[in-house]
Amino acid sequence: MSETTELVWHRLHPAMLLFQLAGILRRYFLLFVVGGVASSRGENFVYFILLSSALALTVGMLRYFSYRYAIEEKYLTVTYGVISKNSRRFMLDKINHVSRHQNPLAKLMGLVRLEIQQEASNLPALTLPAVTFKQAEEIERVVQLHSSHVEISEDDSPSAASASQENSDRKLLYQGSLRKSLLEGVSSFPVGLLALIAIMYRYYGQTVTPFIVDEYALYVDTLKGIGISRDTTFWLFVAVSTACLYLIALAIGTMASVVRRFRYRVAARSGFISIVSGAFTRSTRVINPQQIQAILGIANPIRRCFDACQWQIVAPRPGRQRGTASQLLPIGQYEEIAGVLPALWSNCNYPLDGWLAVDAYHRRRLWMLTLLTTTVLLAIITEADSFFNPLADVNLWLRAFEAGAMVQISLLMGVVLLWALFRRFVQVNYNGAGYKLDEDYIFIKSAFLVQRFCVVPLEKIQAVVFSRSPMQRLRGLVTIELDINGILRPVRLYNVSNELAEQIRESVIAVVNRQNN
Amino acid sequence: MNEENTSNGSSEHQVPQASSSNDILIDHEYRLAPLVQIPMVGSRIFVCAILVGFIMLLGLGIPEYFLDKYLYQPSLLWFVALVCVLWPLLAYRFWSYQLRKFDIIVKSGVLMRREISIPWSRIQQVDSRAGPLDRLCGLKRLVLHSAGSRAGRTSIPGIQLGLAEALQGHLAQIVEQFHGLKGDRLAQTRAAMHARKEAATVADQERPLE
Repeated sequence: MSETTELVWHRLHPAMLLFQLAGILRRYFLLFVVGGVASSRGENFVYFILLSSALALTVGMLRYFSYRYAIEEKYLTVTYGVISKNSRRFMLDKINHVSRHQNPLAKLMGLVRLEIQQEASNLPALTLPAVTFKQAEEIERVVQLHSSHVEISEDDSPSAASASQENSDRKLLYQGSLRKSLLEGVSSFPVGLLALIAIMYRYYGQTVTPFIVDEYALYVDTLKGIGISRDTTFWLFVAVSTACLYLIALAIGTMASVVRRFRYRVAARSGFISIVSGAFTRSTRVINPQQIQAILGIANPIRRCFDACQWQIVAPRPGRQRGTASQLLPIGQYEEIAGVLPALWSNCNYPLDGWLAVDAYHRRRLWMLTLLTTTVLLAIITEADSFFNPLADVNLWLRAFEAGAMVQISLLMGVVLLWALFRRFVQVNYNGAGYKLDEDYIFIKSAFLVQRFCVVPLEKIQAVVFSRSPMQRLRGLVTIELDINGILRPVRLYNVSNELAEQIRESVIAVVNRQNN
Repeated sequence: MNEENTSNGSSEHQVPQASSSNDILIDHEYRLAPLVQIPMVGSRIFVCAILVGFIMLLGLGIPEYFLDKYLYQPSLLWFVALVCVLWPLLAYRFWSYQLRKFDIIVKSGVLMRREISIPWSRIQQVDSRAGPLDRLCGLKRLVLHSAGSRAGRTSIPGIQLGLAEALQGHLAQIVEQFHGLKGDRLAQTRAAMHARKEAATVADQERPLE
């Protein structure tokens, strides 16, 4: 084929050999350890080291010599593989994601790992393990020239950053701080909990039962002296242990957050958004705002107290249709997202006030949900029979009171207290729900303990789904669900009037139609 | 089909009006073919039969009193009858679809009524499927694919063969018309971008060295 003979093949940087060796060592680490230990018992340890090193070196060298790429007018061709030879030919205008990654070793040598992903492909991203900045920029330039929708992610490099002229128009939109990291950590319980469980399992996995028994015995001995009963001691032990675990989990979560979000910042640059993160390996994701389908905000009850929220972007990646949200602002006030949004979409203004309330029936729905939740809780913690037939078991309860069964009585009182508390919280949740519709965007917020925000450009909506329960039909209300590409949880606006629902649907269709015209 | 209305690409999109025997009417609310109740009920009976068979197979080890108390109950039979027969009949009653100027609306649901609206330009592909019972009844199911995560695959069951083919062709034509226009604009944008970049390169080359 004449076309093939004209191709100018490029090799990767020779330092790829080092990365390959590191990769082999990491992948077969366990095998090396087992082999090393086994051979150290005899006299073959030196031979084992020599043989495995030679093998790794040979494989690495073969891989290096088999890896090469060529750029044609419309294609990028990459060949690789030792035993099975692979050749992948990308149409340049179909590439929609090029990302750079740089570990500390690569940073020292001024190299990057380049990942190229084609649109609508289920194949893994093609990797060029070690290319120079010049080669990376050349490939990106060619891809950008052919593709108007390319999204480029890169790792941060001081040398490249200084060399780049694009940095001149960089505008800082968000910068992490210790205070924000602390707030994020304090309110991100799961991170700390997972870490705590891992640590507990590691150190107390085998001895957890004796550990708890010893602790409990200590409580019993101590509290017996001041006349506290055994039942009360047990519940006190449970409460104190849970509180201690929670505090330790929060502390671990906070530390993890401070490390993870070290010098986190978001900047606008040449119409793109760059997100810099990572304490040890600094990485920068550069995102094309056109790829973003929606902005999501999630605020758990602790964050709601501080008017803070975690903000995410939904930008689908090839081969993954669902659940492609990634971090935008780890923790941000509403004013901060209001400052970031116009950089993403020029005419998007986050409504700090002027939210419209949904129908008052929504409050009743929340109250019914609360009743249901607490009732189920009550049914679980008391015997089902006595719950569904309480009159028949009045005597049982009376006997329980007489016998001073404090556990059951306190649980019952706890549920009643929960009802009272939740009733107050229903109003807070109702106030936390609302919407705002402007010419090009719809802003939705909803709340049931966790408050969720959603900013959706109307032109990104794929379908509009109305659902009506019997009660909603009686009241002329609708729940609107907006279908968006790459979103995990549905975006729903609960209990709005039929007229408003129709208006939203017509707005979506008008915007989509305008986009096509 | 009338091709006059489809050729107008620069202004508003016009949905073509059909004039064949299987007329496709705009803004008309189509109901499913009544025969669709047979595959609807049949498929549920099939699933329930497999489920009951499975339970009976496993039930060999279950104590007799447990089966008498929980499994062989009139209420359970009523429930199975409701699921197998009544529910599909009700579901059939509430299924409908409507082709509008810029979108298609598919309505379904018995208790929770769902109404899915997909703009034409969002539809990527239109498939048709027919299971054995569908084929026996001379019916087809149309599946509309879009890029959405939740309503990314919306299906309309129980369409008569002739109408299904006409509808599939009609939908494909509309979708192609919308995507064709989009493709044209994309190509124009790319051509303009290439021209700008080439002009910038030429200007750079012609600029005298300082």
